[in-house]
Amino acid sequence: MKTAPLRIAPLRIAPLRVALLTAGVLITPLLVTARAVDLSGVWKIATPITALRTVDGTVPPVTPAALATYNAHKAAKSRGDLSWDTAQICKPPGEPRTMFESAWPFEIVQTGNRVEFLYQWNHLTRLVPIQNHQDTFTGPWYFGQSVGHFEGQTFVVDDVGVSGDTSLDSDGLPHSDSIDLTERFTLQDGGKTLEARIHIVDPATFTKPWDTILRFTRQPLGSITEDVCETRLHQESRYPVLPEKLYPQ
Amino acid sequence: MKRPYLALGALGLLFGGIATAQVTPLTPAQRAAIGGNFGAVVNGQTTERQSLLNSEVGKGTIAGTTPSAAAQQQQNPGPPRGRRPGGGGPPPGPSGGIAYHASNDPHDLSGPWDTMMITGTGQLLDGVKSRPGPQVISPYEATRLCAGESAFLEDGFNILQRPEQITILLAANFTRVRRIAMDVPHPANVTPTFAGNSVGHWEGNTLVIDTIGIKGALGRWRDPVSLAFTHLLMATPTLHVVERVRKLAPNQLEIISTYDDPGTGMKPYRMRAVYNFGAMDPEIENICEAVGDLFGPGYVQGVLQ
Repeated sequence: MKTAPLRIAPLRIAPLRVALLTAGVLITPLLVTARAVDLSGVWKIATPITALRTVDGTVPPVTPAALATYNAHKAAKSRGDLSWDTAQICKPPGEPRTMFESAWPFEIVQTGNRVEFLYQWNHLTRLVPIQNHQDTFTGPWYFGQSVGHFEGQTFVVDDVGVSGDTSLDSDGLPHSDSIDLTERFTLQDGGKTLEARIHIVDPATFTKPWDTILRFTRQPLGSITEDVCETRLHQESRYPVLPEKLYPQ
Repeated sequence: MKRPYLALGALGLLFGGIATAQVTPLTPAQRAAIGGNFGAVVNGQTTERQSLLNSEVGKGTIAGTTPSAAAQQQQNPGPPRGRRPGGGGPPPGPSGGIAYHASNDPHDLSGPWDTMMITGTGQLLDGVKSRPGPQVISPYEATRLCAGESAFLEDGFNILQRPEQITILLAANFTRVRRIAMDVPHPANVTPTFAGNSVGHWEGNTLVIDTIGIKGALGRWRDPVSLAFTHLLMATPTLHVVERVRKLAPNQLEIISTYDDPGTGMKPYRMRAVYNFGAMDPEIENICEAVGDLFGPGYVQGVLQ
């Protein structure tokens, strides 16, 4: 009674066996690749910076107009005038600046089909779906519109349309809404270091594409502290009312 | 294993099937009903990436996330955008957002869960959550400007689940994040914050979240039905919240929350809410400070600029 199905089964599942084998051969390597890199953890800029530099250590190749804006921002900052900086009124610093702003940490949570950046800076979040195409563009957004995919041990993020209301760094390096960022994240030093090599294309601001490299060191899980921008500004005497006291009892 | 390729192939098919799940673009009628710019229906569930708040953009009540985005949305509802020369990267593709699937695993809570504002499933089980005079309830139930914490009970949320930590991204209340450290005790010394300090563990198929260290605060609560700000809120540093989270079905999540705050002089009370899977995908960028007008004139931009 039990032997009949066993005799018949191999004949019937032969095509299925081929299909399974083919699917396994094709798909499993992709899965292995996709699961190989896990960027999850808390990260903090290894060496605090306020200005981005190219991989050669030079000032980014800004156009004359952008250079004038950049110099004006830096001059104002040296006078204590940060009116050009929307982050001073709690707007998001943008990308990639939020990753190193104030030398505060950020957390990466990687699950299934998404990588989420959770910044300490005003508890901001940035979603990077893992997919191989850009969605319909609806921005610009403060963090742009991002998608990511894996190339071997590298997580590659394509970020388009970062709002020109933001600056690329804390010194006020400008950019336009049309900026394209390609961020390549890799783990180094046995997972203790996260490197982000960022390719920047913005013809309205830069005379040619350029690259910069940021390195972050791993921090203990749970080391993100709660930052509420308005409360922070109040403590710095730059915001008149504590948010939690804004309404009368 | 005698036939490893069979197991390998089955695994490949399983994940391949997941990876190629059918994603159906929203129909024009669905888009119009929701008001968002893009979205999809996955396994019969809407995974609209525009939150309710962003749906207000089309009604002119919210300016949009960035000034330039608002202007662009007015002029151009968003055709597919191609890559610019030299940019490299992936080509533009069909809109759809992330495809989510409700897991049959009772210990897998990951994914988007919809909001009480849609389903109206909040229910006071026992106790009272108000008293004469200013009503006193937890900031966990509050939408308090850009600073406060918000509750499971009011907003939709997205759960990111890893063994060491469960992360909860709250939806309609912008960028609220809760982190629940798993299988560890509270730290000996907890600095009060809006989110508090949360630890979790499993009791059978129920995730138990224990939260202390919530910053005492005063705020106002938006009624989930009328959306009007109706209540004053208060919590003291003695607030202790226990949330019991379990799946009633693969696509249904129940949360029973117990609020105990001796500092308010009130007895503990319990709330229950049931959420549906995937009806709202809170992925769109919502920046509280950029839509501060929602909370009344003069907030943030008016005060700071």
